Amino acid sequence: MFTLQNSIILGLILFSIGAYGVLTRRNLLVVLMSLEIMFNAVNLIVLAFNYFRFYQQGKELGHYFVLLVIAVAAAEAAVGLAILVTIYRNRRNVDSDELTEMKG
Amino acid sequence: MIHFIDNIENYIYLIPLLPLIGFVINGLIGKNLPRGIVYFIGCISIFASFVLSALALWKVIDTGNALEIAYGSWFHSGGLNVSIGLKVDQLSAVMINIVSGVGFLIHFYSIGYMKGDEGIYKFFAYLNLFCFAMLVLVMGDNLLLLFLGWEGVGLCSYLLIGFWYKNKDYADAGKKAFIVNRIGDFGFLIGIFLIFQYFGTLNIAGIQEFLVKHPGEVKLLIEGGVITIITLLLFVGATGKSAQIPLYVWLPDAMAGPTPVSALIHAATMVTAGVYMIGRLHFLFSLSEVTMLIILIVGAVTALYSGTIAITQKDIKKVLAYSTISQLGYMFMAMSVGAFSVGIFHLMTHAFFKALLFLSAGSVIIACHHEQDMTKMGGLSKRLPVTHIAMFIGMLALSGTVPYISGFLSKDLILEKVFLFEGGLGVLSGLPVGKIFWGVGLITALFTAFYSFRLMGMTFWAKTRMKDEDYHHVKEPSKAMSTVLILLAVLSIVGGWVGIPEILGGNNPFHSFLSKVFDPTSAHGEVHHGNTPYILMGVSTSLGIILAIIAAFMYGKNWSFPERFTQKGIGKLLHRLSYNKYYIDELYEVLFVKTIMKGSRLLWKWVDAFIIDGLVNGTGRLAQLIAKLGQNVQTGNVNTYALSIVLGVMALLTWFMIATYNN
Amino acid sequence: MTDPVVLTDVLFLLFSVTAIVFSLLVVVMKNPIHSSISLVLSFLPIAAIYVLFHAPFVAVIQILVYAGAIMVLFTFVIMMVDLSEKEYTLHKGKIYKLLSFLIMGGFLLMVPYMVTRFLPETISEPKESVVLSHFTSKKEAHEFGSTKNIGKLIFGKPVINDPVQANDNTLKSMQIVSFELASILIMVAIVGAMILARTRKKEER
Repeated sequence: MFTLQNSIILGLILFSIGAYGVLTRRNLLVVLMSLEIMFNAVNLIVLAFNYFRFYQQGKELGHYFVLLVIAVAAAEAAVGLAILVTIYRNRRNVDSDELTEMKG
Repeated sequence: MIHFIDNIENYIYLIPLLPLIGFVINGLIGKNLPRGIVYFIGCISIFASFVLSALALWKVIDTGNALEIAYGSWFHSGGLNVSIGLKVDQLSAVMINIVSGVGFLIHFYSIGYMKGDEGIYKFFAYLNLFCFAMLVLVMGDNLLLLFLGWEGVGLCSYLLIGFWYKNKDYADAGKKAFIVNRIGDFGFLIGIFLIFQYFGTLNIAGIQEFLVKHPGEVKLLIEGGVITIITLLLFVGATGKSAQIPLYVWLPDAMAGPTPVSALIHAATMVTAGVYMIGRLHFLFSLSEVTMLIILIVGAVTALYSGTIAITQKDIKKVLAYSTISQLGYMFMAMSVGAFSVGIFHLMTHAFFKALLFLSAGSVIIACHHEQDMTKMGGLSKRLPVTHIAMFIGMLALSGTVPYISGFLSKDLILEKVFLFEGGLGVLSGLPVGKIFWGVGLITALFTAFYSFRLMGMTFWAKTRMKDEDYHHVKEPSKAMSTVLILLAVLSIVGGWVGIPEILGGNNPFHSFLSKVFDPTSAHGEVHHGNTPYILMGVSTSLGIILAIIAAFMYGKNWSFPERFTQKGIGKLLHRLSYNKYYIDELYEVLFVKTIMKGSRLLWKWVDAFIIDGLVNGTGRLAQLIAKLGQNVQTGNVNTYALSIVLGVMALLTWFMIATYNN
Repeated sequence: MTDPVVLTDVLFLLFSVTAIVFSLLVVVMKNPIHSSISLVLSFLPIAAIYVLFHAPFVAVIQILVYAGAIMVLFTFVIMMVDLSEKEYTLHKGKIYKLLSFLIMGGFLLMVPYMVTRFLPETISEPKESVVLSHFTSKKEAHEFGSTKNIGKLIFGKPVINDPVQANDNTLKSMQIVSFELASILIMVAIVGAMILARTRKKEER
């Protein structure tokens, strides 16, 4: 059960769920949360590869990679939420359907 | 300083550059400068340029070699390699001194003439720009640089003719000059293209070298008529710039510009560019007998034709304008018979006395409060003594009626060379071509004498037709203007003394100086002794004096006889024809302007409005349509943008799957 | 199959199912508060799976950063952004939802296919003994992946006593650069977030 294939499939399922959230939710807050799920799915796959393919050779590169991704995700969340707060202050809502100034 | 003079060739770039600097300063900040400084900048830049030109001339005389500096490549494209190089050889040394010397005097004169004009800074800026362009024209060592100057002087001419652009007639005259010149320049440009096509270079010295080094190919080019076509196209350019038939029509209208402009651009310098160009490329022109004969015919016809117009004009500047065209015709005649140095000699003397005449006319015009109609003048000799004397000297030089005055020397040399010309092709072969054209030149000279003294009589000697009040207000304009007139009068007398021919006791240093440029073996090299030159000279001079006296008597007191003569019969007809310039302007109007207008209207209606606009608008509509479709993609909604990313990834994956299916 | 392996399988399955269920809840829940709580709950089993991957340090960071920091951030924002006025739902058009669903379903099917197709068959599942055989002592194997070791790795000290690996320091010394870059990134993000979200005074607007 605990194999590379299954780990990848788990990551993909999580990724798909997150992507589905990004695609369909109107609340930008939830969109950001879904993004975090996607980050986690990717991290999971990276770690799985690291463990199943390189661990026995004593390589831990995947760990640093995941740490960096977590750092980036944290930064992204901070900036994203700040933007969200600004949007809310200006429009009194965070509905992506209403945020269509860029409509061509 | 000594070092500077000894190495003047290192500084010749300053000759055109200084007027350019003057232009930049006056053009950019002249509006905010005090007038005195504008005058100072305008005059000092061209004066410094004149001093340098004089030093360069001295150096050329001293060493006998051309000053030549290459400043590197202008642009390089394929086989075309155009360099920026200046060359001051004997020919251009003479030219730059004429341009900067006469140019300086006219700048100085303008201070008085343009006093009180709003746009004086613009005027000086344009004049400086003109000097820059003209100096580039004469100093450039390749045809493209020459063309640059050629176009530059055309532009300045346009700007200055239309200087008082608020008057629509004046602005139109500027446009006319520009458009007519454009036609000539088109031919000139094609000529340049052909030169590059056949000789592979635009460098003037390079072309000359090619002719020497490849005699076989050159022989083929001559027999194939290529040289004739090239030189004819170049001559088309010359007819435009130097106001010859059929492109002369702009010059009389160009008199709309301020008089100093007429003096500098439309008499002394720019209009001689065509003559200079033929002199510069004489080695090419002398290869084609056909072209030379055509130039001779065009020059002679132009000279006679415009002389006949000049005798009836009322506008003092128009008379001088037609006289200029006529004298340019003389120059072309000289060039066409291979007497290049004589042509340039006449160019120089003409620059002096025609500048003098125009500036005197300007003085008269200012004194009469911008009245240009001679029939409303008269009796000015008492009120304007300096101008009167100056103009009289100028007229003597123009008509060539006094021996040893500059115009006499150059004009008679031309007539002599034409008389001795032995050529003729086609229908003209077998005829005494030289003698026929000498006859034309002689008649032109008589006309010249007549209209010169007609002008003097009407303006200065006849009883005044002005109101007493106005007449007593007429007085010499400013000192600056008088000074310039005196200087130019002196030049008009002595200016020709550098070219006194052997038969008159001189040794013609001008000719031997220029023979370095113009191959000494060309036609005018041999000296004809015997009585012929004296006879020719005697005939033309005595007839000229007779005509001049007749004119002076006819118009000097009152002009009852000419008025009666032009009232009826053949006299009326001739007067009408001449006064209305043979209706050539009207003919051109019907032939070209109207036709072109109609054609253009047709093109506009059908080609432009229907086809082109249809295409353009159609393209626009198509783009709009596509945009409308694409617009739907841009929902402005974050989620759908994310969807498009995912779709892209899916597409990539699908492609990857298909591509690797068999592996 | 030995006992420990079975245990790992069971744990993996358990955590996987929990992670998937809570992730789904994040996406489906109407109330953002519920979504955020589900998000925390989905992070925890993922962290546990990290431990199974012998990455305890990453797991700890996961809990600290996600469950601790980011979640607090989300919760605060939810509190600041008053969402009670309007209920946010899956409110796209039906076709759009179906399309998204199909796309994600296709994605789910496609990638495992690719993975199974192109992953080499010769993957050797790491057995404890195989792992151990690479180290000189059991003690170092325990240190491997631990906090202390990560610190060593980041600062470029040789970690492994394997003679071949020990000489290969080039990669490890690179870690310090990425570490510093990450810290700069986070600092920039903090400054950016502050500038974006601060309340401007009236005259500044």
